[in-house]
Amino acid sequence: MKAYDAIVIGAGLNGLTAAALLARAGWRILVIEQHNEVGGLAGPGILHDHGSLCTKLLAGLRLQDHGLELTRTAAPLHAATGAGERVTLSAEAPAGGLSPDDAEGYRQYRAVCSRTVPLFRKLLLRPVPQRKADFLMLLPCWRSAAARELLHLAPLSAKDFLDQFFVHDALKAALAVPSLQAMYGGPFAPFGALAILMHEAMRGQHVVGGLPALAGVLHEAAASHGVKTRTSTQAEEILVSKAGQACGVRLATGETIATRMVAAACSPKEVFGSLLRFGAQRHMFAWRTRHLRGRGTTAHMVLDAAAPALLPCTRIAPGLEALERSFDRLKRGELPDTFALEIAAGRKAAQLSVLAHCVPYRPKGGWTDAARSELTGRVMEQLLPHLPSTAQVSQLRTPADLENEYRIPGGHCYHLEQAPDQLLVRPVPNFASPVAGLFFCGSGAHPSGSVTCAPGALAARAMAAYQKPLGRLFRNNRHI
Amino acid sequence: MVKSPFFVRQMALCESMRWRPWSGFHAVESYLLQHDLEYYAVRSAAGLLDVTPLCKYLVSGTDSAAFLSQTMVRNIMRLRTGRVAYTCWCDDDGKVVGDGTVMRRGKAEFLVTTTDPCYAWLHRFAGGYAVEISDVTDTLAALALQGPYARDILQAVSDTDIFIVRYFDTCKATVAGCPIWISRTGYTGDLGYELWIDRESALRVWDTLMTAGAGYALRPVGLMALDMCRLEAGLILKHVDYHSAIHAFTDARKSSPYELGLGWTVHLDRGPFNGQAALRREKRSGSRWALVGLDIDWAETEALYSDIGLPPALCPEPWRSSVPVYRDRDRQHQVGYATSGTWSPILKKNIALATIRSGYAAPGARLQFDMQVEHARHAVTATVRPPRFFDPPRKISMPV
Amino acid sequence: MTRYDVVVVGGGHNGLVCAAYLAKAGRSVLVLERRHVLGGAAVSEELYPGFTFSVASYVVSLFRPHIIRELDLARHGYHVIPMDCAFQPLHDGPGLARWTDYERTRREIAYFSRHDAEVYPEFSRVMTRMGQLAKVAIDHPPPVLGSLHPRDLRTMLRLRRAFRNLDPELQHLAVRLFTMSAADFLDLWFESPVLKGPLSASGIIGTFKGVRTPGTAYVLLHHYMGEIDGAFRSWGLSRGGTGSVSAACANAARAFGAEIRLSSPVAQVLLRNGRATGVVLDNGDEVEAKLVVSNLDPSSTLFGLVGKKHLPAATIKALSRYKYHGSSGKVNLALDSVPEFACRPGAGDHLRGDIAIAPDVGYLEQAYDEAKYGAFSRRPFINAVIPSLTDPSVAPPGKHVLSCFVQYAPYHLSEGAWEEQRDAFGDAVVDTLSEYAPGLREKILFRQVLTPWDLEQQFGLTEGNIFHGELSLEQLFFQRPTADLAHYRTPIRNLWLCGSGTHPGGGIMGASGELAAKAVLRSRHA
Ligand SMILES: Cc1cc2nc3c(=O)[nH]c(=O)nc-3n(C[C@H](O)[C@H](O)[C@H](O)COP(=O)(O)OP(=O)(O)OC[C@H]3O[C@@H](n4cnc5c(N)ncnc54)[C@H](O)[C@@H]3O)c2cc1C
Ligand SMILES: Cc1cc2nc3c(=O)[nH]c(=O)nc-3n(C[C@H](O)[C@H](O)[C@H](O)COP(=O)(O)OP(=O)(O)OC[C@H]3O[C@@H](n4cnc5c(N)ncnc54)[C@H](O)[C@@H]3O)c2cc1C
Repeated sequence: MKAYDAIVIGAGLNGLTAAALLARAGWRILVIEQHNEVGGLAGPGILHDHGSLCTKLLAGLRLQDHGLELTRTAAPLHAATGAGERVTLSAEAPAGGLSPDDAEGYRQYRAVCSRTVPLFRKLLLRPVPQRKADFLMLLPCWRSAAARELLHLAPLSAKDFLDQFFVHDALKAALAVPSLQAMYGGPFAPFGALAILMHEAMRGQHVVGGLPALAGVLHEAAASHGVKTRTSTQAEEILVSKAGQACGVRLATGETIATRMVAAACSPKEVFGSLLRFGAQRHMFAWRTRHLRGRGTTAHMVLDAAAPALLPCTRIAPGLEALERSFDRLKRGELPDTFALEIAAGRKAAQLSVLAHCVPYRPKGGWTDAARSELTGRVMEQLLPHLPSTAQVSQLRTPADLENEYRIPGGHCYHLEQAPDQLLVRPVPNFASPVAGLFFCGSGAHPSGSVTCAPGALAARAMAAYQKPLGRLFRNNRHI
Repeated sequence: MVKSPFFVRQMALCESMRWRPWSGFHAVESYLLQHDLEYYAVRSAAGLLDVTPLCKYLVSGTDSAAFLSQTMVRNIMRLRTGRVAYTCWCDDDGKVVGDGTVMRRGKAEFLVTTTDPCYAWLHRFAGGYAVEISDVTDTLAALALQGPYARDILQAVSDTDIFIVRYFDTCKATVAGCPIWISRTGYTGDLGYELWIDRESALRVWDTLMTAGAGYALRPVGLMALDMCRLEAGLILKHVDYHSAIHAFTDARKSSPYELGLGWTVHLDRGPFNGQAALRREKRSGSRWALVGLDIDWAETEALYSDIGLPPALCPEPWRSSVPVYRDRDRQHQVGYATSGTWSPILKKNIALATIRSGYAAPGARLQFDMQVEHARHAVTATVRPPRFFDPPRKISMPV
Repeated sequence: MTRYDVVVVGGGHNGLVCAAYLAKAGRSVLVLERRHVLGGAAVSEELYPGFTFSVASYVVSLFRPHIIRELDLARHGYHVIPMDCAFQPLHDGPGLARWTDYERTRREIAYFSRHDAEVYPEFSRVMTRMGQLAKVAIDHPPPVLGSLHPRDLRTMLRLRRAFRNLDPELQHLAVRLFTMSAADFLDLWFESPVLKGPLSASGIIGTFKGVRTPGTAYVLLHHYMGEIDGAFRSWGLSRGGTGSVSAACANAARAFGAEIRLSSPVAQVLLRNGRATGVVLDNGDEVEAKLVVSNLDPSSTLFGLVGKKHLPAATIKALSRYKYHGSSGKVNLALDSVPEFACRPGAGDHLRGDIAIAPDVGYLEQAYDEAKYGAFSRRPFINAVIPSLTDPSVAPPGKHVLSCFVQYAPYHLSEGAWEEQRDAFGDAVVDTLSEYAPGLREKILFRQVLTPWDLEQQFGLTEGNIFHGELSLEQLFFQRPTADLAHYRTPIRNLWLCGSGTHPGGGIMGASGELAAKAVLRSRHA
């Protein structure tokens, strides 16, 4: 049998994106996914945010033809400010329910975002600059006022950043949530502003039907270009030839599949930790990657609530200092009393989906049943003022569960923490690993985070560029 | 500082009070005020040297052979039980991190010995292997018994047949009631053995050997004499003739096994090992440097001295500082540097080990060695030759 | 009345270095110091009869070697004795002492982790390489971001060259270093929390951040890039206390013709048509000068001596965001005899270096967690030295000086005022030390406790920040103290900055003074 041009490991959104783009360019692609459905983290409705798809990078796929519906209007964000009270923040419309000070603060906050975000977005949604030419091209960016502002703001903690604009503590805490999700640190930790701004920068168009719909569309688009998908198939090892070239994938069943290239859409930590064997990797590199940090602090819960009293897209957080104290406890391996909660509509009508931040990856003593019910109990306690008392947690995924279920060592939502030192080098600049022909195309690759599908799309480009000198095998590379 | 178990004896014997730190141990530089007698003991009778400061690691576990094969350039899988192999280990770029010996003591038990700690280095790759690495440096004492009469002395005190032990073979033996391991190895390039002894039994073995050796003019030997011997044998020394790739400040200070003349230890065609790809590349495209021996012309040296009315001065001790080596007499074009050298009393030659650009390293090439005579610097012709200056048949031969 | 070419406000070591360079270049210079002693935070005072204390800063390493040569400071009394050991007492076991001798250190660390013991030199090598890179950055004025001026391009090129000299792995690491936390950075090498304790502690000195806070890895490097006699990252004791360094600078300045006046607090910078034309002292005296150079931190200079009403709004806004967050205190003790540490008794060589109470990373993080909500750490990080063991000139025979640098003591307390809590703070320090050195309390003859509030009162350090502003990424290099003040100039014509609030930042370095003087001399108005 002829070898595949590339095997994509993991049918998350990014894996599917890369697969579809490469297949469109004429590559023979196989996607393997350990679960029985595609979509990865986006599959079972864990994800709330579906407003950051980077459609520009996906234009070539004509996803609309496969049923993708997008809207420009974002669902407004609500922040609980007290028992039963909340304010509404929306990027487009003026904010509702805010005190005059906070309303003015919000206006300024949006102004800062609109000044810095375009530049940031430009920097993020392109490969990491590496060559001299890349740097020269960026030179004008660095001279702009936006760059100065960004440089000044990014290192601030979420607290320092938000204190500049807002008065109400719970409001600040609600806005600090993206930093809690992206990084391992409380709201007092530096670079929280970076995470918040990055979150803003990644905002894009909204997918009607949410992420499971997007996964379906991508899968269909991929299939239409001839991508083969094997679900319930787990990759066990990435095979490397004597010449140091990735040349195949061995499955858990023992079957091996030959390929010219491998695109890993799974966590880079998994790639280095278990998929690559000795000798296939360089020691300094292995050393560096072993220390890639991906300490997850987010848990997901499904809530059965007969008549959800909460609007979807609500954030409930106790205040910055309280969150910082929660994080202190997390650091010590204890279960905090309060969390930052994000609530969204569940997959079914009478369900809510809740993300809880500041949950330890593994509390002292492990995730025993007692610890699990302790966690849900505390979350419910925090939710209760906002919910009918009949609500019940029907499903809980701790960071450790996410680790097992999706093979993300550490259980971090973005595979790797968005710490600034891991930002431009995730895990390697420009997707190509030191093993020739092995690329990263998942959330752990640049620019990571959020459901942009940008890592998948940028990685597909990088792979095509890598292949180019090898001949005209791939006819349509330039279309990627 | 740590004291070797032999310290009490050495203290009593060390007349010169010349000591040197070695891996955190006190080590004798020379027992006598002049080290010549110690040198001659090794070359004509036998010398006893405390090599306890060598770093010693016990590697055991079902994967130990596979593990060592992947960290070392040599295929340790093929090493038979009871054999010793000299090897080096490289980083990803194929640059030498360390060198030493690996002794297979059992199917899944190895003793790795080296001059510099390498526990952390080995440990780094142990993930995923069923191996255990334990540092036995402080619990395992070691002696080197070297010289033409080493075999006779050892035979006189041990219960096993030493005569059948071949070069780089090992055997178990009992000396003065103490069980020890013996390997026919050493750092002198002569007939010799290294004895691996539990710390508790160490002094007893020393005493027994010294008593039995008295009739064979056995002497305790210090590092100075050892240095002369290893130079004559063309054996390289870490930190002196090369730098470990993990401690080298710049890339220019790193060397590959081929550049160090250790190409013969590299088994390229086998499963992946550290540095394989880079070494393959280097083998194909050639190395930039070569480690060679230099025979520094004696007549020229003598002439330089006699020009100023002095008798030729021999450097009384082996030296280890970098000395430039030139292509031309005007000393304009440097082609390398000598890293250590000595006067060889047996060969009556002034010899050195040098790292030379490969284009100038062919045996027989004549280069210019930078030498200071009285207060001025001169060029003295040095002839390139293989580093093994002294290689007596008895080193590897079996008695008939 | 004489009109000086330059008047330097503040006789801290940077002001003195600056004055010396300016005087050397032939300018007439007057230094005005508020206190009765010179040196600012680098000062020696006899607080108790017979005992000379390095009241604030206590060890020297960062001082730029080329300044020593250019100002011939050795002739003027600069004398620094390198320390051989860094000792960390522990409750169990012998504690950990790190020596200059590698083998000795290896054996010490191996007690806790064999792996770490061997990796330690690798780590040192990496830090030395990073230090070489940092040296290029700190020995030159920062470039203007995006500027095409030849000087800036040269600086960029120099940096680029230094960067390219690193091998790719180190380049990678250098980039990451700036934003990592000290603990994460050390995790790249080490496994033993005991070793990581004192190592990571270097990352928090002078900042209000924990060892797990991003950005502290840079501070770690800041403390590693010092150099004594060509050896990177070695620290030393100044003979006669750190005041001797300042005294040497002052002697050099005087030798070049500068005039220094003590007890002359400056109240205001004289402005005429928006230009600085001199200063007014507290007692009303006016001194005229063509240029004014301020050794004070940027806020004291611009908000204090100039006044907000003379400043552009952008400067006010940027400078108001400049973070001080003082977090350190100092406890100085005069002792009857040498303190004895239970884990390693006797007055051995291990006491002749610095002594850190930083038993592990968790301890340090806990100290920070307590402090970040506005209370001093009950079990703080302490870095102590006993200079009298090396330098008998600072205490009577057999008696000793114990100098303790303490963290965290936040400037802003959530409850109460520092004046009331000073003694409790001092007690916490002595208690913590006594846990490791029983019987210490009985040996104390005299105790001085300096809280951040005291540091502000006594040394004029805003919010008690020892470095004239935190060493965090957004206020370093071409952003120190802020982007528009980063080149020693201020928006007020003829008013310049030369204190630690400017590039390259705090510590007894002399670099800010030197680079400021050179910038002044390059300007048109000098
Ligand atoms: C709880 C949670 C909340 C989140 N919230 C948001 C949010 O609000 N907004 C937002 O933008 N982002 C959020 N994210 C992040 C977002 O989910 C990810 O960035 C994105 O979905 C990653 O997609 P991916 O394709 O890169 O990886 P994944 O979706 O993780 O896909 C990887 C796939 O690879 C498979 N796989 C792994 N190993 C193997 C193997 N050996 N063999 C075969 N298959 C394998 C896995 O099963 C998985 O299907 C959240 C993440 C989590 C966990
Ligand atoms: C407790 C403590 C411990 C430290 N430990 C170390 C250490 O161990 N090693 C190290 O390298 N660094 C250490 N530092 C940091 C270092 O001491 C400082 O960064 C450095 O000394 C600052 O020097 P400077 O000249 O820039 O400013 P300063 O030393 O602050 O000098 C400013 C001067 O201006 C004077 N002044 C203030 N207001 C007026 C006015 N209105 N009129 C006239 N004069 C005025 C002040 O009195 C002072 O003399 C420490 C600092 C402190 C506070």
